[in-house]
Amino acid sequence: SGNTILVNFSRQKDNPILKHIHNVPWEHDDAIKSDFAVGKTTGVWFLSLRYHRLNPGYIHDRIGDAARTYVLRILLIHVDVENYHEALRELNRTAILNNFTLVLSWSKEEAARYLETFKVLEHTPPDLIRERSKEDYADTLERSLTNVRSVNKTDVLTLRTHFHSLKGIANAKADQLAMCPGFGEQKVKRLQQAFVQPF
Amino acid sequence: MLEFQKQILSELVDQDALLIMSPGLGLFTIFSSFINLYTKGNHLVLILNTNQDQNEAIMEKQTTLGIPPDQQLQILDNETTSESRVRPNSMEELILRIYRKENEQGFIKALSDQPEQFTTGFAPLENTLKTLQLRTVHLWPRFQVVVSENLAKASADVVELRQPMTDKMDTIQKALVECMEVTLAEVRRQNSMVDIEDFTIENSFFRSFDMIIRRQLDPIWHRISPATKQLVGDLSTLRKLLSYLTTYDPVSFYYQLQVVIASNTSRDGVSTRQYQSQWLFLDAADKAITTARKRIYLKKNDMEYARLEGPIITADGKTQLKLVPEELPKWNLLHDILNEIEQDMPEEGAPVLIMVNGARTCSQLRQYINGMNKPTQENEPKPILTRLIQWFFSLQKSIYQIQQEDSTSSYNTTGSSPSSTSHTQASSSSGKLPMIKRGSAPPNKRRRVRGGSLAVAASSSRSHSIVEALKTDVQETVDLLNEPGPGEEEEEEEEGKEQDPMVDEITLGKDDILPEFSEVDPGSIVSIQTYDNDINEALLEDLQPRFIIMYDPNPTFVRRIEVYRATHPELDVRVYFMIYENSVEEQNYLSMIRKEKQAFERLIREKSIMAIPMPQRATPQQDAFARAVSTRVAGGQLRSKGPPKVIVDMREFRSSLPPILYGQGFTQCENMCLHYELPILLIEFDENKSFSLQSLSDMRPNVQLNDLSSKLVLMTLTFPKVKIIWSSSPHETASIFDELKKAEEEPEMDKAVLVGAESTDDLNSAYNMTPQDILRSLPGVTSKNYKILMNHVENLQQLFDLSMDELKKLIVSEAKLRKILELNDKLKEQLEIPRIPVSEASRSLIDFCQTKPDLMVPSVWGSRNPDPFAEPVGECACALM
Repeated sequence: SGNTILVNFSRQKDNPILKHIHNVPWEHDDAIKSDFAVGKTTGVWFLSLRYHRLNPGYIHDRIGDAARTYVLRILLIHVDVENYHEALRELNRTAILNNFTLVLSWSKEEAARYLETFKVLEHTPPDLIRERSKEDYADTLERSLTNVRSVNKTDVLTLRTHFHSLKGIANAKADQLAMCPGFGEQKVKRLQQAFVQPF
Repeated sequence: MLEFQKQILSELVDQDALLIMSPGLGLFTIFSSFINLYTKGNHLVLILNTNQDQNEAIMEKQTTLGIPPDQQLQILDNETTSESRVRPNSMEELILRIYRKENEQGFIKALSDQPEQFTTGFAPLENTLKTLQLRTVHLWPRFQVVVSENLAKASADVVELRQPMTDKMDTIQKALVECMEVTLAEVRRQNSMVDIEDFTIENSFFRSFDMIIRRQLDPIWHRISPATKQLVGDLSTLRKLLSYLTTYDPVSFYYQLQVVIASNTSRDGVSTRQYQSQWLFLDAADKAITTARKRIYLKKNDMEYARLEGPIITADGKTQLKLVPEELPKWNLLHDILNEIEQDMPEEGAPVLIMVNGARTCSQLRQYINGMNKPTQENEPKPILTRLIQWFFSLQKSIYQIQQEDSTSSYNTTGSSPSSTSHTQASSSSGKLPMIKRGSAPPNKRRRVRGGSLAVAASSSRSHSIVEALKTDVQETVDLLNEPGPGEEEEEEEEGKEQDPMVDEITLGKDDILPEFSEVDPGSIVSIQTYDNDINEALLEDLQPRFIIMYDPNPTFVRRIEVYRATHPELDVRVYFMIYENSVEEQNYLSMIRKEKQAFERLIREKSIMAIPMPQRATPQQDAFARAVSTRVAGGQLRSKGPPKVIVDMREFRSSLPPILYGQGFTQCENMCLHYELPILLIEFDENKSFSLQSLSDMRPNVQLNDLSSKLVLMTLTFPKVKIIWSSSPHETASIFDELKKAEEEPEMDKAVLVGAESTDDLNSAYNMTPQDILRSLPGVTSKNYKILMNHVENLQQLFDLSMDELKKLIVSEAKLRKILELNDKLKEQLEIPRIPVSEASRSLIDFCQTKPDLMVPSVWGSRNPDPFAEPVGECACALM
């Protein structure tokens, strides 16, 4: 059962999101306490808001049963009603007070995708969110300079052709910048401010 | 002041009101006279929503009126607010509400000269009044009776010049409009649910169109395909290009077109998730690009090549280009007008004012006028054009280089077959760019090439020399570009240089640059100014021009001239008004006037039918009451210590949405887990946007690591302690916080501040986020060392000026520092262990041995009497071994 999602079939056999789990195999296991076990220490409880509206007590019972089970307990909610405000407010609170992590999805596909992702990433080291992926000079320059409001990628290319390096751009005079096509007063001012302003 | 302005002012003083007037009728004059009225006594006037320039202008005005500085803006007990930016739920509304609550007598006045802003949304005027806590509105359109009478008095001497565009400009315009039409039709086709009514080609010429389109698409943004998003972006690119067509010179326009294309075609190596701009594949786009090129130079296989005369440049002996730079028609027209003014000049030195859009046009016209009266040979392009062409070719080279660099670097990293196919795509779609077709270094300044080759022909082979000359040329034009000032060098200078081949290329220094401001027509003062709303009001009064040339059309400024003429009937002002016939420019101008008129008509209608909002009295503190009798406080046994509060970290507050789930998000989670028992990540959505994380259309068939959802999952897996709050709007967040707080103790400011802070200095410092964001996006800058860098240099400019060694030192010293600190911490820990001197330790050992009999050593302690196994006597029940 290392690479499969365990599904509490007695509760979830009619759940439509099962049909959308394509990328990871799943199997029945009615012994688990959660609805889906997506890892050794991760359990997912599923709740559709539409169902919650009809049976508001259901999730509280389930949560009560869940005490001291998994390290990471996910409350996966399918937002399938228009008027979600009241319910979500309450569920946000319930989740936090009962040590559940809330995850919202807006479609069956998305909910299934979350289940898959939890399983796929079970053993992935957190490097991905720690560092950015590799990129070349052009990308870095683009990402860097588009931090300045109203500067877009076309402008970045213009700047690069005119001044060749970030240093060149930073040291450019206002009237030089103003001569670049596509640069109005506002943009020049904002760009220069970004370089000259103290941090 | 004119009659109607006085009337407006007295109305405003009488009663709290919102004033909406046509732009250009002197809003700023009214505003500053109003301020002056109230700066005399002991009033505090709060002014909201003015920008820095406006503030300076007010200050200046007050100083000129002889108000002593200590009575200026600082001392002032009332309030006024301007501009139409006040929206519900904004900071301004909060200020006004608090103000009204505390102060019933003070006044609130609101001023605006942007009637269009009040016409969007549901009952906009009523809502704005409610937000502003006002009950009356004064509308002063241009067509108001008093205004028209006032302004009609002055005699009109307006010369309206409708300049036809050149054929090529016309072709480009038609092509671009066609591209827009196709793009727009595509947007409509893909999104059947949007309101078609506003999606007209005419609307799309305006910047406000972006807003219209976003407002319609925002609530369903998650359901929109990436293709549509690309189309929406394309529309705004095309609109910009259209406006550049009439404002930029041909060379800059073509260059801009190239850059737009280059940056919109996918680069090799990058996955083509980003959809290609569709308009680039249209015939019309091709036509626009080719025609734009033909406004500068012709290639040998162009039809016009044989017909038109022009200087020919050659490179490698193969490629031949004929330079046929086109002048902007308005330049010629301006030339004629200036000549006419010179003849009609009533007296020496009558000021002439030329009004343009933007600093760029301003400096170009300055150059043009400078070069205007220089003798030029027939067939010779104007100096300004020559200079532009040099500039252009030098940029061509650098674009080419950049593309080379990028493609080699991405080949190195990927080098797989998909990347090479995308490469061919890219080059085929950007194949219109001449630098790719030519493949070799582009030809540069014609004369320089010849001169250079002559000079070195004796020493080396010809082809080699040309390449060399080109290289130095590029280098030089690049140097030239780095020199300050748009004035650059003059043609004569260059010729002089070329006659002497011994002159080193590098001597092209600052000395060669002629002063930029040479007199044009001695005797008259020509000043070129840009349109800039509030500053312009004073401009006309300051300069008192007799001739005004409106190079670019601007309805606001037309009003200003009207007001200026009405206030100075003694001056005989002549106005030239230039506009391109049948151009988008003309259409824009006309629609702007029409839109303003419609806006006022709507406002007038709404004013007549709207429900006048009652002033909101401060609501009784129901909340506080409910809390006082809440059963949760154990029947009143527990005294609440004050109103409930939430402590906000202002450092986060100031940040422009941190790129969550990236490096920063990670360290933040790490720190939060370290310091708080229950860290919570708040995911809040914009109220007006769709409440969802990812759009269905963005979902890929399999799990991708870069998806937002994957990052979220990874975060929860890494930090199981971190909980998540999902909130659909700021309001929701507030009520969720409220709910959560019911179960928690009130936080204490002092304690909260100390959590995780390294020193108290950390807390109160305000940072500018944009420079910081840029810094942190640089490679090699990590969450650990960026603070060191920030402390060491003042700003980014300084950072870039540091040498490699200095940077190394900084980073290394940072690593060292960290090690030292770690060591220090360990030592401190050890110091914490309680310790006693050796003498004391041995003393206590001796004491222990002497007081406790060791029965196993009878030689010291006597016989086995007392018997250790005997029942112990006395209170102690245990024996010591």
